[in-house]
Order: sequence, then C-alpha cells, then structure tokens
Amino acid sequence: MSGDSENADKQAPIIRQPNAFETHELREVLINAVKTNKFPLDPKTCGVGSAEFTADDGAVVRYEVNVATLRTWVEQSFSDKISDSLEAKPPSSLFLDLFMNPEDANDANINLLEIYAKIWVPRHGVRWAKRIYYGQIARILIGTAFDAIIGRWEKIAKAVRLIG
Amino acid sequence: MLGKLEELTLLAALRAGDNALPSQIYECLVDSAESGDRTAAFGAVYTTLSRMARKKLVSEQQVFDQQGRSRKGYSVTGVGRRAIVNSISRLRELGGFALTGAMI
Repeated sequence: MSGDSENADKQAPIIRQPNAFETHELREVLINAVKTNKFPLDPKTCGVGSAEFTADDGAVVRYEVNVATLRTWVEQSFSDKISDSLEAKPPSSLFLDLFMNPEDANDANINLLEIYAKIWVPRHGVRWAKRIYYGQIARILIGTAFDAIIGRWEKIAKAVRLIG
Repeated sequence: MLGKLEELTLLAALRAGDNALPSQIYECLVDSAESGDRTAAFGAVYTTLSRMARKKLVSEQQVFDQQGRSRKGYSVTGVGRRAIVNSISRLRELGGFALTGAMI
C-alpha cells in the first residue's frame, strides 16, 4: 500500500490551463518579466510567451500568450500608470479663485479637498470624486451669488418697511 | 423658522462641537445618514453655514487647523439653539413623530 502511494507521489504533475484568477496573476508575472527585461520584447520578437507556476493542488499551471498580445498588455499597463498618476493629482480650484475673494476661495477649497480625500474618493473612486468636486464648486459659487442677491433684496425690503 | 437643511446642519454643527470646520460638520451629516440615504451636497451645506452665520444662528471664527492654515470655524449660538429647540418642539406638538410612526 505504501509503495503505491510513493509511486503516486512521483507521478508527473498534471499540466492544466489557469482559471480566471490565475490568468490574472500570470498576466501580471508576464508583464513584470517584460518590464524587468527578463523577457526581452523588442519589436522583432514574435511567437509565444509563457509563464507557469505550481498551484496549491499540485498541478502545474501553464499560461501561453501571443507576443503581440503581451506587447499590448505592457503598453496598456504603462498608460494606466500614467493616467492613475494624473488622476491622483488634486483637482484644480481655478474657478473658486476666479469668482470668490481669496480668503473664502482658499477656505472653500481646503474643505472641498478634505472631503474629496476622506469621503468622495473612497466611496466613488478618483474619476467620480473629481466630478463631484467640480459640481460642488459650481454649487458653492451659485449659492454664494444667490445668497448675495437675497441679502441685498432683504436689505431693500427692510428699508422700505422702515420708510413705510 | 428653520428650513430642513438648516435644521440638519445646525444639529450636525452641535454634534461636531465648538469651532467645527465645515468639512467636520459635513462628515457628521454623512455619518448620521443611513447607508443608501441621500445626504445633502457639500456645496449646499457650506453656503447654508454662511447664510446661518449672517442670521446669527451660528458664529463664525477664524481657527487654525493642524497644518496651521487659517480656516472658518462655526459654533452654534444661543439663537441657533433656541431655533432648533423651537423647531423640534413644533414638530412634536403637531404629533409628527407619532403620526409618521418614527416614535411610539
């Protein structure tokens, strides 16, 4: 019995296709291999790139990918990083600076940035958080202008009441 | 008489404490809302605070945050407290809580 189990242990590992999760991991391995020059990918390279690892179930998971596809992935990963770093920049407060006095604009902007970082980005992601940020700038500007008009109107109404 | 947003902002300002920054008051509003509930927009809360400062419902002070930046801090005044008490009392007198089944 024990001899049989030893033979079973020595059997060649099963090679299988990766599942969706493993595919994602192996894709990252391949992209990193290209980026760190472990897998040189000059424009003339063609054929198939592959990566493999031993999964928890003992099977060897092998993933093969066309070099042209791999090249696209690498380019995509670089452009994703660039767009991520651009989006990580805080949004511009230009409109606040243009239409409000500097003290009020500064105060409003600091508050907006705090909420942007604490609430909007974790809840909605950078892209939506920026849209909300600009929407709220518009709201503050419109609200402030509206309040100023109402304030003047109230003063006029008060004066008219006093005269009357 | 207080509007609904003024009422909520005053309560949030009370919860945030004295010299609370608009962002802290807004955080209190967001935290108090149940998940899925719509909360007021920050722009509306910010302009409401300025409006309430003119009505003397809250007082506006210059405060310095942890980074040493000059900010506007808001505290609820006596007038503001009376206004919120009146508003809640009126709601209770009309039977608002019981009628809507919010409280037995």
